[in-house]
Amino acid sequence: MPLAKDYLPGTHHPVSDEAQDVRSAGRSQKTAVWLFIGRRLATTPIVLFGVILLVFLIVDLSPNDPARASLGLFASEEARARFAAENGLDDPVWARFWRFIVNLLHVDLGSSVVRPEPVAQLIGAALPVTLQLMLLATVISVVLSLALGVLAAQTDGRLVDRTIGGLAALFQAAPPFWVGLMFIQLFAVALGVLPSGGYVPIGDGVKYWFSSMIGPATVLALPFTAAMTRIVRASVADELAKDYVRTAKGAGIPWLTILMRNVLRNSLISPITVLGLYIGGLMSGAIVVESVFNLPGMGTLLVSGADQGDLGVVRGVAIVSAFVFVLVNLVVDVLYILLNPRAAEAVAE
Amino acid sequence: MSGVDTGVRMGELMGEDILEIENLSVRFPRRYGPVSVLDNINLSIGSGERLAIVGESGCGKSILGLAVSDLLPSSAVANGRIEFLGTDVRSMSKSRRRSIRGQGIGIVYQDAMTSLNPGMSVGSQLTQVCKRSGAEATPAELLESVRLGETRRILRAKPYQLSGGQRQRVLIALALARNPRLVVADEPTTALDVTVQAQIMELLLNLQSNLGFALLFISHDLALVSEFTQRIAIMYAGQIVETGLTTEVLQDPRHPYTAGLVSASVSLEEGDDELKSIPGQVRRPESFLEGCRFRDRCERVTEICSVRPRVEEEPGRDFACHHPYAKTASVGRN
Repeated sequence: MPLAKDYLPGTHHPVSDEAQDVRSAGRSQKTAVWLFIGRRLATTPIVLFGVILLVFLIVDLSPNDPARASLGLFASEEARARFAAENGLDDPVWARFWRFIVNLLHVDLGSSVVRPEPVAQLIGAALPVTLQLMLLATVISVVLSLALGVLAAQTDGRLVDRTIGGLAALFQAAPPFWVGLMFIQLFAVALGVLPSGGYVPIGDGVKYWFSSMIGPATVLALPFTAAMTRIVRASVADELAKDYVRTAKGAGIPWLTILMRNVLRNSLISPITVLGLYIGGLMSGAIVVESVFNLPGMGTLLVSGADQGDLGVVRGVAIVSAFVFVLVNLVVDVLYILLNPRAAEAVAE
Repeated sequence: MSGVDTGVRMGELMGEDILEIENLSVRFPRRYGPVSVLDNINLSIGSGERLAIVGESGCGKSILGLAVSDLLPSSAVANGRIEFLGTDVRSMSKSRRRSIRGQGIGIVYQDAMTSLNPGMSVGSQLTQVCKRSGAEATPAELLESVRLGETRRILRAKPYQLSGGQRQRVLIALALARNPRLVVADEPTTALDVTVQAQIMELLLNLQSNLGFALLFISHDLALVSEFTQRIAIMYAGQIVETGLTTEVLQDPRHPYTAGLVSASVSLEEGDDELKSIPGQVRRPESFLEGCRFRDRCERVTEICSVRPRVEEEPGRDFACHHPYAKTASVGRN
C-alpha cells in the first residue's frame, strides 16, 4: 500500500515526550505566590503613608480654624493665640506632621474640639457599627448575586434571565437614599415589621440587633448586588461555554456538580476583583445609609464632624476608612492570587 | 489487496452492534436555517470495532461525534435514531442518558488544553469521574494505564503545567475511567507533533485491544486511519458518501470524493512534483447544494447529479454516487 507506513504499532515508546518538569513548575508557582504576597505586604505601608500624608495636607489646607471651632466665633484674639500655642497650631507643617505620625503610632488620633471624648474613642465606637453594616451588606450581596447570577447564566436568554437582568439594571440605577426611604416606608411604616432606624448593639439581643441592621444592610447591598449579579452572570456564562464543561458533561458528572465544583470556582476571578473595588464603595454608601437609618457609624460621625468643623474627627475618620479600604484590598488581592495562581506567575515574570 | 468480498459488515464480524445510527439529521436553525448539517446519517459500530470517520474540516464529523456522545449543543435540532445497545438514546430518561455519557461512551477530545479544567488539579478532575458508577481504577492507576509516570506529581499538577502529550494522556484516562463500551476519539492527535502523535495513537490502540472497547476515530488523516482502523466512513458536507473496509475503500475508492482524497494523500506520499488536490473547497452549510453536495467540485458531474443519489449497497461497500468509479477502475492507477 502506498499510504504512510511511518507509524509502527507495537513499538514501545518510553514516555519521554514531556518537555516540562512538573515538579519545577509546581515549585515555581508556589514561590511566585509567596513572592506576590510578600511584595504586596511590603508595599502596603508605603500606600498607607501616602494616604496619611494626603489626608493630613488636605485637612491642614482647609480654611477651618480649630481654635474658632473650639472657642466659638466670638473668642478674643488672645484666647485664640493661647489655644494655638497650647496645641502647636503655629508650628511649621513638617513639625505638625511629625507629631501627627508619632501620635498615630500610639493610636492617638487627637481630640475632638466639640466633644469631650478623644477622636480614637469616637471612632472606636462608630467603626464597629459601620463594619457590621458593611459585612452584613457584603454577605447579602455575595449570596444573592451568586445565586441570581448563576441562575441567570443557566437560563441564558430566557424569561428568568431577562427578569434578573432588568431588576439588576433597575437597582443599580436607583439612588440609595431613595431606596432607603422607600424601604422604611414599606417595612417600618406600612408593614411595621422593622424599626425605622436606630442601632441596637448585638449584646442587647441578636434578634433586636438583626432587625436594626437588616434594613440598612439590605439598602446598602442592593446596588452592589445588582452590579455583582451582572458580573457573575457574564462570568459564569463565559465559563459554561468552555470545552472543559463539555468534558465533564461527557464523563457523566451531574450538572449541579459541574456548576458548583468545576465552573463556579473558575468564574469567581472577575467577581472577586470587582468585590474588592466595591467594598471601598460600600464605605461611602454607608455614609448615606447611616444618615437615612440614623445609625451611629463612621458616616454619621464624618458628617457631623464636617458640619461642626471638627477637623480632628474628619481626619480620623478619613484615615481609618482609608486603612480599612487598603486592608480589604490586600485581602482581596491575596484571595485572587490563591484562586488564580497563574496570575502570580505572570506578575513574577 | 485480496479483493475477496467478505459479504458481511465488520460490525457483524465483531459481534453485535453497540451503536446504530438511523437516518440521523442535525440542523442548527438559528445559525444555518433549514439545512441539515448532518444529513440522513446511517452508521453502525460493532462491539470492539475500530471505525474511522474521515472528511475535510467542516464536513460535520465532529458534530457527528458530539451527536453520538449525546453532547449536541442546545441550539441543535436532531432527528432520527441513535441506538446504544439497542435503545434509542434520545428517548431515554435524563438520568439514563447521563449514565450513558461516560459509562457507556467515553470521549477523547481534540484540544486537551481547553478540554481540561484549568482551575482544577488533574487529580481532582480524575477523582470526580472515578466516583461515578462503572469506575474501578483509582486516579493513579488510570494515569499508569495511559503510561504516565510520576503519577503523584501529575495528580497534583494543573493542566497548564503538563506538556501536550501528557495532557492528551490525561484526557484519555478521563475517557476510559468508567470503562466505556465505546470511545469516540475526535482528532485526538491533531494538536500534537508527529512523534507524540504516534505514541498517543499507539497507546489508544493498545488500550483498545486490551480493554475491548469500540473506537469511533474521527480524523482527516488518511495515513493514521489506514493504519489504525478496520472500517471507514467518508463524509462530505454532512453526508456519508462511502463506507466499507478501510483498506478496500482507500485502495479502490468508488466515490469520486474518496478518490480525490486518496490521490491527494498519495501524491504527498509519492513525492509528486505537484500536490494533487480536489479543486474548490467545502461549502458553508448555508450554501450546501441540493442533490449531490459534492457536484460543484466533481469531475464526473452531469445533470442527474442535482438529484440526490441513492445509497448503492454492494457487498462490503456502500456509496452514494450517480457516476461511481468502476470497481477495479482505480486499482493500479498509482
